Amino acid sequence: MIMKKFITSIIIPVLVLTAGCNEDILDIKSQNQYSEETYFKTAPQFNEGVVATYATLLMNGLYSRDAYYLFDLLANDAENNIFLLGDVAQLHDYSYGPAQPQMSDLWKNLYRMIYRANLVLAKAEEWQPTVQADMDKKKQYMGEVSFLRGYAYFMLVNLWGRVPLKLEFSEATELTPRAGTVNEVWAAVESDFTNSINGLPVTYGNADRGRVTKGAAIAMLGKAYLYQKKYAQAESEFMKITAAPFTYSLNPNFDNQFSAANNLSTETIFDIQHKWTDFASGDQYYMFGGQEAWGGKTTHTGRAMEYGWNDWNNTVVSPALVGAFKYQDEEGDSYTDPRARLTFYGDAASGGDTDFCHTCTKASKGGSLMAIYAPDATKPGPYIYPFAANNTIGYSWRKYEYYETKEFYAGPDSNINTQVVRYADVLLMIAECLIEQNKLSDALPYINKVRARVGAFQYTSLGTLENAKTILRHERQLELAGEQVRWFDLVRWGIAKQTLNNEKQLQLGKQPFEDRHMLLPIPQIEKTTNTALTTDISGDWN
Amino acid sequence: MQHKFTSEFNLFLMLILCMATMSSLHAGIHLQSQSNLITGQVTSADDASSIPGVSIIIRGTSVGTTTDALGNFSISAASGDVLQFSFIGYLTQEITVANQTTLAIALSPDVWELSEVVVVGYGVVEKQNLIGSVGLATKKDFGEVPATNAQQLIQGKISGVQVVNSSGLPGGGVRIAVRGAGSFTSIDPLYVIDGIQGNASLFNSISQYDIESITVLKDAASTAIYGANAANGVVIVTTKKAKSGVVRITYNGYYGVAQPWKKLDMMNAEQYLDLVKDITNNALPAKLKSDYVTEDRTDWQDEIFRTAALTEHSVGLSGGTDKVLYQASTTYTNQDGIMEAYNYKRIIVRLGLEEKIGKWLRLGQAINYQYNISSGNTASFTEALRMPTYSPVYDPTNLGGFAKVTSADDLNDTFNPLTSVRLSERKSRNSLTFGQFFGEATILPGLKFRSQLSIDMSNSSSYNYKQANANGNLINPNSIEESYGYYINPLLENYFTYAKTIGAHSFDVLVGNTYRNGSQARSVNVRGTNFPNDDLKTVLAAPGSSITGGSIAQYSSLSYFARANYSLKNRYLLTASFRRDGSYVFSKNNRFGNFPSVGLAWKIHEESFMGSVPFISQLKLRGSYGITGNSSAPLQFSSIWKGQSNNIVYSFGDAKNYVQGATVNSSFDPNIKWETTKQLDIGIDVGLMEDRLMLSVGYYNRRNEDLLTYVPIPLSSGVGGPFDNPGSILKNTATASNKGVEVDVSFRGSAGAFRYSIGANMAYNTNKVISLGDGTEFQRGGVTGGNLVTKTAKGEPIGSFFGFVTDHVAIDKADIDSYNAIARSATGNPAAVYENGLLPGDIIFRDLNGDGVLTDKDKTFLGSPIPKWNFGSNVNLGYKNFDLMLSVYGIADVSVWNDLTYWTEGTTRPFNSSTVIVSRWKTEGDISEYPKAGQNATASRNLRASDRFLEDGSYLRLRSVTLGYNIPLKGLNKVVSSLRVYVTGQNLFTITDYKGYDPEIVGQDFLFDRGIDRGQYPQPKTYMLGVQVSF
Repeated sequence: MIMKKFITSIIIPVLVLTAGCNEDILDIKSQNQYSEETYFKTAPQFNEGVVATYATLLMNGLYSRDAYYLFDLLANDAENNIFLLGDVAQLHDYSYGPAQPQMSDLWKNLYRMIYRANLVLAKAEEWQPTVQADMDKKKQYMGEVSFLRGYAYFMLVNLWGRVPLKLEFSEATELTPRAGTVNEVWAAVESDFTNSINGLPVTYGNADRGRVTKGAAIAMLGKAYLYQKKYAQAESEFMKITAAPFTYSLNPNFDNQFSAANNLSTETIFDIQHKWTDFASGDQYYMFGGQEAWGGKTTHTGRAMEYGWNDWNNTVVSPALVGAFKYQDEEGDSYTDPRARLTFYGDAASGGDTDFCHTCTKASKGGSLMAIYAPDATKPGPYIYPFAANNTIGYSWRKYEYYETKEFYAGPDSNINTQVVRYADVLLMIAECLIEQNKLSDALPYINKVRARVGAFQYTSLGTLENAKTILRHERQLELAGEQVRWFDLVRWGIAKQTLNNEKQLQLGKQPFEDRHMLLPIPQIEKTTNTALTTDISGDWN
Repeated sequence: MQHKFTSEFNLFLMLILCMATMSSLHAGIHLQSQSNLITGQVTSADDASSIPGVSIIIRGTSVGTTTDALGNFSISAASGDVLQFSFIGYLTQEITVANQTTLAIALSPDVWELSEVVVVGYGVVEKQNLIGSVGLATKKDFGEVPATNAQQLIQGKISGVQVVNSSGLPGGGVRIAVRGAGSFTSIDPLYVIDGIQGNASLFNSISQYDIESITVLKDAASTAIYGANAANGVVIVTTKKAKSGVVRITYNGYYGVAQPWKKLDMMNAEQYLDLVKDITNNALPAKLKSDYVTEDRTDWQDEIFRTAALTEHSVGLSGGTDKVLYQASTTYTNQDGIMEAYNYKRIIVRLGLEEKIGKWLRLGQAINYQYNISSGNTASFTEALRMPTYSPVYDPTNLGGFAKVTSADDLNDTFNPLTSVRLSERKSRNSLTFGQFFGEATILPGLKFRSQLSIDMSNSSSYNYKQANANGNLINPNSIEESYGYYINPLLENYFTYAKTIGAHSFDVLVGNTYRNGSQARSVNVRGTNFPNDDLKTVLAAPGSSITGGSIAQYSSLSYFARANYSLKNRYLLTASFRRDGSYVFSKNNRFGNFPSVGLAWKIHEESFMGSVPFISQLKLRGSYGITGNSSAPLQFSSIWKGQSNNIVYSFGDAKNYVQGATVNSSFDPNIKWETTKQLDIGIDVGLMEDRLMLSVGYYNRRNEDLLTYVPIPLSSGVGGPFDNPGSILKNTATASNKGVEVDVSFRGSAGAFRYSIGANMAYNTNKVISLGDGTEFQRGGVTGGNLVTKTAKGEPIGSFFGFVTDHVAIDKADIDSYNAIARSATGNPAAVYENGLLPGDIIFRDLNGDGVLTDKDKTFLGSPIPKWNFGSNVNLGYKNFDLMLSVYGIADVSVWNDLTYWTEGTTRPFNSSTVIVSRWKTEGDISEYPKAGQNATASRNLRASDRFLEDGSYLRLRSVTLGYNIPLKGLNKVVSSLRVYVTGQNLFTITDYKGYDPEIVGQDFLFDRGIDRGQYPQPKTYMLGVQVSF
């Protein structure tokens, strides 16, 4: 009995106590995520790495939200409306500082793009496929991520000048100072675009449309040269894409280039793919920071809703831009450019579109506004609306909007692809290269070709060199209005301060643009976390 | 095991039989009358349980007896004799014998009984032998509180323990912070339930009627036995145990109503229209020019608030023999929230058994089961406050039937707060089963072995179906979100204890281990939309659906622990403990952490020289030092990131199909290890007048080292997801400290039929970041408008508020010119201005660094969300059958970020606003506290992070008042042994300067986003009528 008690009371407990000593139970592996060591070994896995690099194009500061605010407001294509809330409202009068969130986000996510590209390039070095199909894929993937890395540095060098250069995945977490010179960054840009041209195909099959093509890489390389004023090299690159094997042409319908129908346009050279499916797969608000997190699967942009006059109505078309559509023709008569009514809504005097809903089938979504302006809900459009009285400035966005097909968009989920480089832009850049090389008559047909598409009068001559520059710059302002191009143009032409202060004097009664605004401020967070970079920043700015 | 469960089930059946035959059992206590023989039963006044072993003596004689196992007694006494009933832990009662033959005696518990034992880690200790700093709250301190979280019960009861409700809705969360904030990853304490480590949800699954006491271990000598995860203190709940005797049945129930206690003053339609005109320079759309918008139609606060009903019923049953003790209870709670349209229902069932087998083996089983359903979505304050009052609630012509306002028509796109509430059906169901099993063997006299196992299993599911509607500028299709999850979490502990007294030396030793393996959790979230109609509310009926999230987690730990207590002559006490903990989170090299502690106490009153000072009944000096740990970090490895729900996607192809992406988005430090907290405690306990007045004063110094900090890495690294701003690496880098003083004082006594006991506690704590090591100071705590308002930096409290200091609203151009003149002379730059874009009517912020211009360098630390002062008081008064309990709680020297005023005073754009804005700056020369309307016209950034939004968060709250009456039942009823009715009022008043709804604010993470009020649901004012019956 005593023995039995001893066994049950001592032996068993001691056994139980020591049984717990197996420390292997602490070896737990994640069941949620793969480990880096075992991934990126096959073509589909590499494709995922490439896709993740593309996905940064949809992050904040870029094309799901913010790029349109940033560059339209900075360049005074757009002006604040009263609904524009919080920090974004600081862009239009240059009252932002290093903590401006959209600028931090842009900086951050361009470096995300670089990091993800570097990851793919680093892993690709270890990947030695033996099948020809895989070898081709590897070449294409490396071309795609080189393009994206080049694009990121292209944005960085234009906006911030000298920036940290990270070209190796292994150096990701190192504190990195800014490059020695702007030229070093430009060299990296040229090198990346050049490398990508070699790896990329001219076109893709139906399943892959939207990936960067050889044409896109050539156009961006040309742009990189143009922005550095290397006009001859730029011209030579741009000219390549006007000829075989490339088949780009202007979209006969200007409206369609900025509608959901633009996905298959032959004018598109590089665009950002946007798609919204439904609430089941995505969250409409993903562009407020839900990408890759709570935002579900979607690639849409908030632009149509945010700029839409019958929706969030956060910005209006700036009076300066509206005014630019009225100019004198070659006879000296007052002329209203036909692109006015394709770009904005306004009163008849402004040249903007005065009615909307040209192809709405019915007043489908109702609301009291429609009760006033379209009392018969079954009557098809168009409807006349007093746009001039709609806000204190009077002009509302039409380009990239849906109001010709829907009177009320009711969700920040635009499917309309964002144009990054289109053929009309390239034609105008060719004209610019030629003008800058004083080949004015060569430049003329390129400008006229773009104007002919919208039915604008044809120039017979560009006049003097200065006249030609003015015409070209004006043409770019009208053709590319609201496409986030003008800021880069004004800065590289060196006329940002003068132009914008003149425009803001009329709009705001002040001239807020200072010399430092030519570059964006280095983000505050970068400065507090990257001590290697802080010493050479002057005036808390750049 | 099989056998054990079977026998348990049989016992449960027996319990039910017992309940059914209650009356016959009572018949068993049939009493016989004899002329000089008095019989009766002694029960406890608090829960009517019978008390065995009560000493009954005829005063002045040695004649006496004791009660039997059922509390019954019989004694021969003559008329005029005085019977003394005494029992340890209860106040002695005297009864003069008249001509009774039966007596029902209810002894009142002595709350401040000296020999009270306190539950500590892996054991109990007599209160007078406590070495550490341990707070205790018992049923008598809680009173009748409609607590859906047991954590709420200790609010204001224990010094240095801050309890904050994170929502005024029933079932809402509670955060507890012990002695400030000593971690950068989690400051939640460890929860221990009946001796086994658990968590907050297990703790909250216990009905308040089943709780005997809650102990909070604060010092290292007490907590270090739980080493890992005890760095933030340990909260121990002890449930009521059955006592042997006949079956006892108790019923507790109440009915109550809850109401909001505050409404904000918002503009009427006329004032709102004036604001809109101001913002838009009178450019109004047609609707705002019509008479329609001048009429007030809706008070939106009245629409979203409501008076809520609360009910609770609890039935308990217990009893047993000297071999088996049994217990069963069930509690049903049904509470409406004071916000449209929230309801919370809960049922808790608890079964407990304890068996003695022979003289050496004791077994116990307890099962706690909780099932709750919460339903209804809640309306949003920010929506309700921003809606114009001219808008009606309903509009039958609008999709969904609720009125909307839009940017185009109203210049205001606020959502109607009732649309999403009334057009939705939400239910969350959660069941939690928590079993504890133990066996305790007495191997030799003094040597015991205990093995205890706990398993908790939870299943949860929820769905939220929303009907299609048009609200604000949006059209929302119908949709459903569903989620399903479960977890299982077993824990096995084994330990030996040995206790021995040899002469003046007594000691006890504890050695054991803890083994947690097989813990795992899985969950999945799905979403569906585009239903053809609203009939089927399941994702299975949705034409479009997707998986939106989910997770799998596994975790394990392994620990060894030991403790020795030594007492010399009952005067000098020593305790020493050691724990070695291993966690799966860390790499093999750093996996284990060692956590030792030592404590000393000197009971001076036991010294012979103290005999000459009889008024000092207790005098004890105590001190301790120890190290505890914290490992609340995720598993560190280089992972492939595909998005939260495989949603790194980009569109390719003619159909723009989403194509999956994958990348690496994090970097990790393979060398991270345990956070360690080193804590020194010194205290003195004094008892005067036979311990009627007790005073306890303690000082502590907690130093938190190797704090796991997400050290930000530059944005230019590219590391991190889009939501990381910037990316970060978890490193052991920061050091923080919390120092403070805690005072507990109590006074109790009686005067005739009047009984009183008054307790008060107060704690002072200073929190400071000592060092951030490799990490730079960082800002988190984002609020509306994208501002980051908290900053964690060396020398300041964790998560302090940071921003500009308001000077005044610029009166006119001359006012601004004077500032620009200063800027010019200070900088020497003739073009310098004080601040770009500054216009009359904008706020002028102070140039704190005196460089003449306003820059980011003029930001400063504005306040801390961690209160320096915590205090509470409990007053218990009794007069004859009446009892009154008051409980007060408060904090002071604390700040709250009133983010709601961003909307109510910010006038960012046309939104309905607070009436204070009526007196805003409107034209040159106006002197006003509030800037001009329409901030964005000039992007003047009047809404930047500044003390404009910061308020004093101090408050003093009458947490509860209860007035009870014990209805005398003498001779009335033999079935009912006691009957008490009570009324309780909760939160009847709150003294505070805070302008929002309620200063009791948690914030999102209680660390770096602490004390930010984004419209947290306020604590309601509650009135209850309750009854307690014992059979």
